[in-house]
Amino acid sequence: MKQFDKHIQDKMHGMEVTPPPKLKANLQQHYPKQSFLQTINPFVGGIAIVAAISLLVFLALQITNNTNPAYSPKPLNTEAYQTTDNAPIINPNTTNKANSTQLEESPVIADNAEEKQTGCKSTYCTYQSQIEIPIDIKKYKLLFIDDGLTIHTNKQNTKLEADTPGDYLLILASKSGNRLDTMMISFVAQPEMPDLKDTLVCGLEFSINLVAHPGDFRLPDGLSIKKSGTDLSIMAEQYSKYELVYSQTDEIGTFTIGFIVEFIPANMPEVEIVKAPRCYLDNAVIQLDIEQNQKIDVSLSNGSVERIENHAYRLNFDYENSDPIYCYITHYQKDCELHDTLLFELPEKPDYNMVINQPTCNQEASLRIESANSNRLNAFLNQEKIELQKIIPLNPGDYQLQIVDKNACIITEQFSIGEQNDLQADFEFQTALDGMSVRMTNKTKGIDEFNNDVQYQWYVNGELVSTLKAPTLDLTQISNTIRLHVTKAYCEDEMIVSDIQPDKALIRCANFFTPNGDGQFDEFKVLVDPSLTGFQGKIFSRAGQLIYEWSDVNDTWNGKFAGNQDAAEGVYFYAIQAVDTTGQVIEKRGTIQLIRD
Amino acid sequence: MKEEKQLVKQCKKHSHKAFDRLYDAYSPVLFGICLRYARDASSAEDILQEAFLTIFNKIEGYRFEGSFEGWLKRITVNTAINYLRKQNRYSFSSLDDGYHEYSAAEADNIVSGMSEQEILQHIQTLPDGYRTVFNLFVIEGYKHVEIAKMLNITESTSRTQFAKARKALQNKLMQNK
Repeated sequence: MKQFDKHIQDKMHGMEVTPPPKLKANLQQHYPKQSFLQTINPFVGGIAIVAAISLLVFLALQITNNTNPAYSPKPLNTEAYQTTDNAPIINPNTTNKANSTQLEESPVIADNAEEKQTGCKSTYCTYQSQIEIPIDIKKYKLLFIDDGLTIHTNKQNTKLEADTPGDYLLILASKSGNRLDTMMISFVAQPEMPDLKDTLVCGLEFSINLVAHPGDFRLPDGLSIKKSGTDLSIMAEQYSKYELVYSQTDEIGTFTIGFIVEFIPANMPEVEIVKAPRCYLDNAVIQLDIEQNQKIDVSLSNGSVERIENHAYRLNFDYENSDPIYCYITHYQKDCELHDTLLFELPEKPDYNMVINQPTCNQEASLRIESANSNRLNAFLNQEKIELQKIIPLNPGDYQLQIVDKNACIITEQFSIGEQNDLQADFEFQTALDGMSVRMTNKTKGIDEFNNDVQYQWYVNGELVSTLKAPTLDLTQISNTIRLHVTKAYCEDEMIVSDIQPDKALIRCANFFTPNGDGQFDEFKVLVDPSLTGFQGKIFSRAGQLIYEWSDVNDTWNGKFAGNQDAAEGVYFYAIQAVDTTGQVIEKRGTIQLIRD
Repeated sequence: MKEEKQLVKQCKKHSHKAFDRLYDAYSPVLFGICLRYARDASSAEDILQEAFLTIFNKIEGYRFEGSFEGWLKRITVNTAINYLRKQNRYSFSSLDDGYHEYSAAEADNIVSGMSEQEILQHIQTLPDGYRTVFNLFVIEGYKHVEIAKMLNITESTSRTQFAKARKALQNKLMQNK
């Protein structure tokens, strides 16, 4: 390229000039209409669509009959072709005399007046990569050809070939160059074809799940086809290879798929049921009549399969499920899978219910066999016949119950009867630090650690004071009686220990108390031997002031003074006096710690 | 690039908004092409409108192969050629050859000093045949073989027309200096 050209190219290439605005406004009036279905509100429903489609069809007919022939998607016919001498009539319309002038004036490129469902947007449509057009292209000038479209010509015909499916444009002009026309050729992608592959069939019949008519298949001799439900069944007369052709035709063209079906003989092995399940909980044994090295799978719909030897299998059914049980046998023979199914109806469990009562404190152990149809069953306990519905007392020990039904099926159940309950209340105790209470240790036998049904009741001198398992109990007298009462289910037992003395002294008291109302050591109490008389108790503050005084041995000091005032925390002095049987005054002095919290 | 693809997809659905955007985006470039091929602005507008109608109708067939702008330009150029053809304006008869010969160097200087608009004006005053070949060869970069096919002329006609067109344009530019 010369320098001058280069300069011009640099200057002008990519030059942008904004067109006048009126051009856009004008163009907008000519925008292609929006696709019909896209503009319909889906809620308007089918009526609108039907009406719209009818209108569209009507309009299409109008276009075909009366309007611009370049838009009429009519197939080219030879007659029309011959009437025009020097113009390549691509979309001829024999009824329209103005044909050539129309073509002269309008180099129409797109002719999608109506869009077919097939994706065919032009008169020339094909599923192939090539299409033959009845025009001798050598007579005309080729003005424009879309990329990807190739023209092949020979003496007889002109063929157009496309690289990929799509719409391709071709512009031709007459030799004189003053007439031209365009043609659009649609190379449509092949429609989806059923997945028909070469198949190996075991047996003489196979079916295809395909919505098709038997006539869509071209069958070789020896094969027949029939429709059965939604499937097509193809049957062979003998074991052999057959080649089938399936074809599908629509307005654009015909598609064919060839596939080979080979029918081979296949025999399911004989199955012998060696042992059928006769009684409840029985298993079954089956034997398959096949050669040693052949592959086979055996499975149960509910249960497990155990291979015994060769091709014998033990089937262990799950009797919890009362449904019929299927045994699936799959035999692999060459490339075929052969299936067989055996159905096992399992025997029902004999109708009985075993009620066992384990021994309790006030009841012996017993057994009762309940049954709605007792006349059909026999029961044996440790091989001795027993009557049904009756309560049979049992001693502790191991038992074997056998139920024999009308089919002489025996069900064996094992159970044990435990020893009679051996609940035994027992406790030990220890004098607590304050000398006025005892800590109990519960030694009751016949209960396990987590047995929550057990109840304990502790009585001190006949009064219920605690229900804990191992409480600390206040002693209220010089000599006390403690009773433990234990209840477990229907059993109870008790233990009594008498003459529990906090101390051997005639006058005894604690060295602290906590008057906080919690029920524990709330009062300062003095225990005095019943032989003593003339009791007198006094409490002094540390300053020596008398703050409380009492003379009834059963009274106590509750930590208050001067009517209802709380004595402060701290140490107080006590002085207790009494007279013994000999008339001698016995005195006890000491300190008492008053604790508040 | 992605946006362009999106735009094309929407145009394929005949979205009028998308058509508007397409027009706004590419009309300046395409109008530039139209102006080069047309004799005057109003013809260029006609060509542009026709080109856009073609684009809108053909866009469903656009297969995202090659540059979209290239595809638009090709349609515009084809439309321009067809337009001129319809106007029967192709006259590849020779013009008077009595132009003054200027040296290439002189012409180069002139071109580099001129605006696009000035050059365009001169291109537009070329006879249709010259102008078309000149545009196709120099600016669009087609080969003479291709131009010959497109315009239904022989390759040698294309070559001679081009040579004459160039000479004519050089003359015009020099005269207007």
